[in-house]
Amino acid sequence: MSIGLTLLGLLEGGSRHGYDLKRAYDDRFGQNRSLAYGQVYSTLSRLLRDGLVAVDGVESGEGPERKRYSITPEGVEALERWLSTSEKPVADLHNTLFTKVVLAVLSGRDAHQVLDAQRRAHMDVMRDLTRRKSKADPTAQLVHDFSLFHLEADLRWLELAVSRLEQLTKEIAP
Amino acid sequence: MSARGNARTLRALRTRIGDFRLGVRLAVGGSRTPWGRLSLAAIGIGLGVAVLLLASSVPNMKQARDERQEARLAGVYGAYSAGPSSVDQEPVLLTAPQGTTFRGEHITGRALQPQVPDPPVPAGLEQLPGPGEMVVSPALQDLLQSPGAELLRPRLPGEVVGVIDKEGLVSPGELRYYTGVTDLSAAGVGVAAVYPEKSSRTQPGDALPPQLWIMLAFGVVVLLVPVVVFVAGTTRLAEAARSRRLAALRLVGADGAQIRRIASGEALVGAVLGVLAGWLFFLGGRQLAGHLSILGFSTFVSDIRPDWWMALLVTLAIPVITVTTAQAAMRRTIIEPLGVVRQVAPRRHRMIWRLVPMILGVLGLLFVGASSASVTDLQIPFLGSIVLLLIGVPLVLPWAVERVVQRGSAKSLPWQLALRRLQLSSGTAARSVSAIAVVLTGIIGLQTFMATIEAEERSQSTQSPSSRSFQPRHEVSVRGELAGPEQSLEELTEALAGLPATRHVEGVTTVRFGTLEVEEPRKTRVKRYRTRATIVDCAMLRELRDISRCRNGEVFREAPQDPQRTRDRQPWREPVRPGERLSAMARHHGPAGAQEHTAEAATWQAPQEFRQLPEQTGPSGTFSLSGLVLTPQAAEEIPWWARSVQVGLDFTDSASPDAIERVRNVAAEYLDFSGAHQYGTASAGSDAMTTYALIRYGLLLGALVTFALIGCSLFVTAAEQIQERRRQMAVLAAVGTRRRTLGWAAFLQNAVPMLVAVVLACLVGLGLGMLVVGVASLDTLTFDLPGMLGLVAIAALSVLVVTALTLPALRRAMHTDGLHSE
Amino acid sequence: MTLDASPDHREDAEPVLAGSDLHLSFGPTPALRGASLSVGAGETVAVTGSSGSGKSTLLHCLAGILMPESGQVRYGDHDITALPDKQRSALRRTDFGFVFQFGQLVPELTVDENVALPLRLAGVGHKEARRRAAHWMERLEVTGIADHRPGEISGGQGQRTAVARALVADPVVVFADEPTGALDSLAGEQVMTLLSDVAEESTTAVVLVTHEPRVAAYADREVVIRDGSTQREQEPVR
Ligand SMILES: Nc1ncnc2c1ncn2[C@@H]1O[C@H](COP(=O)(O)OP(=O)(O)OP(=O)(O)O)[C@@H](O)[C@H]1O
Ligand SMILES: [Mg+2]
Repeated sequence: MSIGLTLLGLLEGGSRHGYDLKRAYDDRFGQNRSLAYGQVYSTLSRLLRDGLVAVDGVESGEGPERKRYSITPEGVEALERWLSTSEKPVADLHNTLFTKVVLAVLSGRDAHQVLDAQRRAHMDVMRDLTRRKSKADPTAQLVHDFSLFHLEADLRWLELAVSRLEQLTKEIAP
Repeated sequence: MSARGNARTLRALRTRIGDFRLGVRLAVGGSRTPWGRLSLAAIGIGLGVAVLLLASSVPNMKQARDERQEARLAGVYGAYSAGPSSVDQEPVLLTAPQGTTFRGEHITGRALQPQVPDPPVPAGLEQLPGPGEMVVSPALQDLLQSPGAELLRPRLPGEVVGVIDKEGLVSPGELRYYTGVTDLSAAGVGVAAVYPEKSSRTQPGDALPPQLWIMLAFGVVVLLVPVVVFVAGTTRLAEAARSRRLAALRLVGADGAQIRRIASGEALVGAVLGVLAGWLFFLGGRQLAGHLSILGFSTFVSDIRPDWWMALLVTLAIPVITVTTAQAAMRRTIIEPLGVVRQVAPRRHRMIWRLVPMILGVLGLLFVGASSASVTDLQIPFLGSIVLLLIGVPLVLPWAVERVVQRGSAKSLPWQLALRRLQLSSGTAARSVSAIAVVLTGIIGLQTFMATIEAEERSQSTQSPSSRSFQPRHEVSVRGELAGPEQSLEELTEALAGLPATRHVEGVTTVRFGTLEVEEPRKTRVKRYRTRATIVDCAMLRELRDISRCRNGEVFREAPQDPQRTRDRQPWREPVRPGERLSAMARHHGPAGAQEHTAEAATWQAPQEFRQLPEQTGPSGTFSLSGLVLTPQAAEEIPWWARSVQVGLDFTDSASPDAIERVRNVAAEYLDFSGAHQYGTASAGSDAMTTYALIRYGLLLGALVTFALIGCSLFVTAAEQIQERRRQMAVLAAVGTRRRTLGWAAFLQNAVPMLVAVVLACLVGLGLGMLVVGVASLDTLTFDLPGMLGLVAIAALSVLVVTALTLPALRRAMHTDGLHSE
Repeated sequence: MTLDASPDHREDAEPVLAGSDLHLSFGPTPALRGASLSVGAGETVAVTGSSGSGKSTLLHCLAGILMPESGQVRYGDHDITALPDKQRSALRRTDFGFVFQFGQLVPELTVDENVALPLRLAGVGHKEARRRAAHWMERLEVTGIADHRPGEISGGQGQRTAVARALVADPVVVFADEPTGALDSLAGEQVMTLLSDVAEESTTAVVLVTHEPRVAAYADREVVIRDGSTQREQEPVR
């Protein structure tokens, strides 16, 4: 995921200071980790270099001087292009889980234990997300939903995998 | 009680009423369907109610007739004359019965002769008709004005001066007249004398012979029980849907009592509408019946009214029955609502308690049959047992159907669909044929009984020699009394032979002999009947009996009967002794009758020697010889007024149907109280026979009404199946099931329960018939196989009809939104 | 009849409803083989498990609709399995609310009448019942279809109607069998949010049967049932 493009998206609503941008980013997207200042400024300078943003003006008062950034037409174009291209499906997301389950089943261990443990962990996260979601604003809710759906998908996949493998072992087993 | 307690009871009461209202709401709540279902239920229950009301009006109809009959007799027959010496008073009115037959219809009449200036007037008359005048009933007036009446007029020559009012008539179609006469004598036999003080003597109605009573009572029960079963079945219309709905209520916390109340509320809506409809049908049908004449019967509209308590009973009992059945139907919903909602096949029906009514019925009938008391004294046990037996059929039927469908394993798809469906709802299936099963059972029982009676009668009549008398020697028989000294048998036969269509006219005269006895305590002289004598000349006698030698002046005597039988049945029929003096008895009601007392009592002395009258061998025909047979020369002292006349004649092939009317007119000219009967036309025969025929007709009529009801029940069944199957059909159609497959499935689904019902009905019906035959102590048990086959054919036909009625709905279900309906 | 059973504290307090070691078979099919579940006031417990594992059966046993062959269901001071039918019915009417998996709306009654049904069964007057029904219909956004009959509304609308009906009588325990089964994600979320809000506000206990982890995530706790027995009973959260 590109931070630069995300910043471009945030700037589309109107010009902002770098600090504002970081705050907005953290609010909306930073549920896992917040953005470091350095990263914001390095990204912005890269965008500036590529002509996707422009500096509107510099405000100087107490403290450090603050630049006001705004999006350029090229920036809007780049943003639109990004939004309209699909993400590459991540097929190998659960490599580790998959490996665990297969190993458990094939080694004759109870795959349900893996499943249950994983389910517990997933459900704990999901419950937490659900609780947080109920207090969040709509855009943040969307982000939570994204995670929830993905976690659910993981769980379902996991359950299916266990059932399938059990069937398989039953067939294989003498 | 504390205020809180009061509040609680109030709340409980409100909950109760609330449940009830909810039930009502559910009944009239749905989208378009419930109105159809409700009106079906209302019509079904209504027809049942109307039939029950009509049936409960019958006793009143009979009573009203009897009362009016009584009333007009009381006005006329104040006291029966038994001869002048028995009463000291002078009568105020004399009257004698008259009557004739015209084109197969009986016309009754009365001759009236006032003895004082202001005599009593029979009910329905304003004043007595003067001599030569007639007052006639409206129906007779119409008859007299109709074309062809000129053939009747000679017999009723009086001038019509008035019309008999309703209270003087038994039924609107009655043919009756009163005519004024001057020549009656109080002494005439059959003449009734009315005395000033009314001592109305009511004659108790004849009790029916036990066999006829059994037939009538049995028939009524057989016809009415299905009506009740039908009504009960109608309330359970669309029950599957109702169960599911109430089960849903049960799941959210309605307790058993609440479900029952809600179900009652629902059922009551149909019942109340049904009772209302029933009264409408009844009142409308009553109006119609007033204008109908069935088999010569007509009734005044105002006579068709049930007793108030009967009406109340029907009005209240029907809702009670419907509510009770509705509650009974909720048993499963209350016990396992989840199963109902999920449409799990119900648990097996238990057999034992279902058999109880039937076993009780069988035991009851066995008891009545074994009991030494007469059936008519055991009415309640007898009828109760039949009702129990019949009620047992719809109870056992669900079990039987369940048994049968549980067994079946299906190979083809239609069989599979039908059987699986029946397994899921064998109760509904059984219910849909229960009314028909009860009718079949009852009618098969009745058929067996009637067939047995008939067989009994046939075997008796072939055994007894009198059966030969059924073969008439002549086509037409004419009877009467000579009207005066100037008339004679010879003139009458000549006049009859002179008619265009007659041939082979011959006649005899008969005399009744009695002996004079003095009766204690008033030392009244009375004549007691001894024997009958027929006056026949030798030529004819040779034809009638196998007699080789006959001389004029000889007297023949019937061979003495079996003495045992004579003493038991006819104590007066001691054989006439040689040389015994007998006096002739007048049969006349009219002027001739008076002669018996005024003229020298005509005595006749039996000869010292009788010739033996040979046993009858061939058909005796019109003339039955019994007692004495006199050759004309031996009967010369017997006066005209003691002679009755019997003439036999045949019609030529070209005779018109009205030829008999011409014969009657001639007979009326020469004879008093004449009558002519043509064999093979209107039923002659004993009173018991006509009652038997009447009951049969009545039962036939009732059976028609019941079958009409069953027709409705078939329609109701079809409607129910449409309701229940709509979704199923839609689903099957949606997955591409062929219409023919669905049609076959529908047919099988109807045919299987019907088959079970027919088998059960045949078994129970035959058993019932046998038991009743046992009760009536008849021996020649006979089965009416053609009748049974007819019933089975009707049942088979009904399956086809129901299936046919369901097919359009099936077609609709296949391309409408059947899938979406909940 | 109301049994006195509404403890105020949700944690460590006595559970409101506790079924333990429940067994039930349908003929030869064992549906429950030692299932246990308890729920406290204001708590939502999710029952999950694969299809046919016995979730609905467990729910029906807990609610006193089915009688287990062995095991107990404690509600307040009573063992529901030992109560006579009349009292169990009364409990369902006054203390429990239901959202069923199948055939729950009465097809003859309109949506608002369906919602008011538990109140009417409990003897609440017509006006009062309507008023309270209107409140819940508004919260579940089915006011617009109040006059429709179940046959005329969508599956999701029907489910929301059922939820409104489950909540209308202020129950102590709500049993919900797949309450979001026919709903899209957003509508399901609304229903679940509402259910959990209500549980929170009025300390209602909720037993929630579902096969969707996202829906189960609204619960405070999850009980997995496999082949008729509960896998993880009484495990505290946090
Ligand atoms: N009335 C019944 N008769 C016979 N078996 C039944 C009955 N009800 C349920 N079962 C059986 O009991 C088991 C559990 O059913 P239950 O309805 O509780 O499953 P569930 O977990 O709710 O499944 P789902 O998620 O599909 O609704 C199933 O195997 C089912 O076949
Ligand atoms: Mg289920």
